[in-house]
Amino acid sequence: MSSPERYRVLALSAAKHDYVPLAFKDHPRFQVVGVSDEPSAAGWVHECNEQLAADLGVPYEPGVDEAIARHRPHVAVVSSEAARHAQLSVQAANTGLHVVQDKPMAPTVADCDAIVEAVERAGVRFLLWNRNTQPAIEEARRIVHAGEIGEPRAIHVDFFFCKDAGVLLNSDEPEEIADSWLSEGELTVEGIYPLAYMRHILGLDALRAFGRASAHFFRRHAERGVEDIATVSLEMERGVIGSLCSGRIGRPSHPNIGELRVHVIGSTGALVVAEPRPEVAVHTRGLAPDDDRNRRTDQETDRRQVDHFVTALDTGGDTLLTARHGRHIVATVRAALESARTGRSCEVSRPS
Amino acid sequence: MIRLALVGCGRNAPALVAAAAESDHCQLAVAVDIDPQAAGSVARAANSMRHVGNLESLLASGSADVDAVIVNTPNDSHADIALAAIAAGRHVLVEKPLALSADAAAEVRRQANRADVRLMVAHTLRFMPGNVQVHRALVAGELGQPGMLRSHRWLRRFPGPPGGWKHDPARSGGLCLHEAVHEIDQALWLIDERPTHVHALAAPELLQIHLGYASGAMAICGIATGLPLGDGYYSLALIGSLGAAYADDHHNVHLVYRGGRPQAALTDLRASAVRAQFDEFAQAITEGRDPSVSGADAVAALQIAEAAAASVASGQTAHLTENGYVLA
Repeated sequence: MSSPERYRVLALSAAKHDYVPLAFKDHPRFQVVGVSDEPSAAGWVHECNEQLAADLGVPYEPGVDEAIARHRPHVAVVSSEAARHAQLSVQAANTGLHVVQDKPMAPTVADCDAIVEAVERAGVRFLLWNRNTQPAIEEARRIVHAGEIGEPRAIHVDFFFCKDAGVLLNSDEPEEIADSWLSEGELTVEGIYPLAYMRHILGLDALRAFGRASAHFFRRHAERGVEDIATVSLEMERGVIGSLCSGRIGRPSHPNIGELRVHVIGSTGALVVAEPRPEVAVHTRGLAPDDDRNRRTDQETDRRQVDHFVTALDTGGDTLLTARHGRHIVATVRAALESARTGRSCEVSRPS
Repeated sequence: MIRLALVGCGRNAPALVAAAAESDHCQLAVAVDIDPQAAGSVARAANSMRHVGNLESLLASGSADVDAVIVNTPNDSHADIALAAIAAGRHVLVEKPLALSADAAAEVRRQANRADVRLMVAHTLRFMPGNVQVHRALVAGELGQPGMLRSHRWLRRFPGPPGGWKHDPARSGGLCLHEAVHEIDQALWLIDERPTHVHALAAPELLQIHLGYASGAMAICGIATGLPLGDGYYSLALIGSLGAAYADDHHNVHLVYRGGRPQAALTDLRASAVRAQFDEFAQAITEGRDPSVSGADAVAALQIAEAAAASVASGQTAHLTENGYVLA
């Protein structure tokens, strides 16, 4: 069957972020046809969805089955709260839609297994949104796969976002945002990015994890018993050692977007990627607290990810981060957090 | 001015000679090595100071021109040479590790205390200029409660023939004692708390030490010893509850622009650290106090290094106890 000239895209919820559906907005091979969600979604979610629909210039139509029937989309972009990812993605796959899904893949490995099973049974493509199309990450992958640093022996990723998540620990101030995805653990939510880097650069999975995690900064994390910083040691395939530091380390903790670095050590050389570099930092008197100080020199990262996705759709090939890859990443995070709880290294579960 | 005998004139010696020459608090008086050529070469580099073939004869002769001894020999001789110097009433600055076991290190410490001489161990990372600033910020309360320490240290491949002592774990103590003891001491210094968990992974020329603390703090340190070419690489991040501090070479800090053609060279941070270390040792002697890196610090780092080695060997996590560790 030939590929359509333009794939129709239905955005399913924008509760968490809008950047995933917005990445499809002006792409010549996609046409965003609408925004939908479950009618039972929370009021603030409907507000986010309406805003996204306005930004995209498409209607917002609660009722997922009805919207799918009306628009006959090829692709569903799921960016709901993490707890509803599996439900919406499985529903979309069962209807024969390809799925692009925001992070984290799902809160539990069982939910991920349900997504894997649904997309593989339906024979649709699944892309877990990631940052692997950062130019420096692509270059690191090229260097490793070309053998320029020999056989990979270790990969270390530092992934500190200098962002806040509400008020600080021990503060008496009220939370400005009562509840949101900010209440989820940092490794749980953001761990996909560094672990996807490892997967993308080396093509290897983790086998065992030793982890430490704690709520060090933010009251909402402490109250919910979730982590805002975590460290993970990984035993990977082919004897490779991995490590990961992840944290939402607070806005004052870094002059840039954060310390985002990848280190790969091979048998004949090594490489370091400092993701925010080269940077353009703009500091002005009128800068609001939440304004970005840094302007990325590369604005095409999301576009390249969408390009890669359309190739996967056209050819039936793998996406940059498949459901199975995403499932393994969630399993790695769960093993690390279980290790942090027990004090012992834990095996990363494999699909049955 | 504290007068030093440098015992061991191998590859590391020229850097020590250069650092001592820069110090306002100490000076090298004697070079000691069983290889007369090595000792003579170092002696010539240090303004033709005298050189001898072994420490025992130097100490037996009274050697009134030596106040303290720097032990810069292969790791398996550190403890014995330190004990000999202590027995002769000399202060000692010992290259790390202080000994090849925590028990042996504790014995050196006991003897130094009994003889009332100063014992310092060369945990040089504490004197690296960037790390000094990080520690200063931490002590000043600017960073709040330390939560995460992350470091990377990559070194060029060990020089020398494959049969050299550094390639022999029985003589060097292996990577955990020979190298990671630096990172462990650094973690004890920056996170002022004894860890509860040590999990370590190793691969050829690689070691990763992961420490967990009862407070929720964590430290993870990577060491690579097999870089084939070029400079080393060093990077440290200390994340606290109020802020974070970063100290790394990045090859773009402390640059000296030499003018003319656009070129730049890194200042020698290690030389600066070694000189600061010598100064601290000499001043501790002069002031009759413990140096900032004490024998107790060295013993504590070695205890954890031993647990790390056991973790590597067993594939398990070492849970530290009051007197040792349990693998699980």
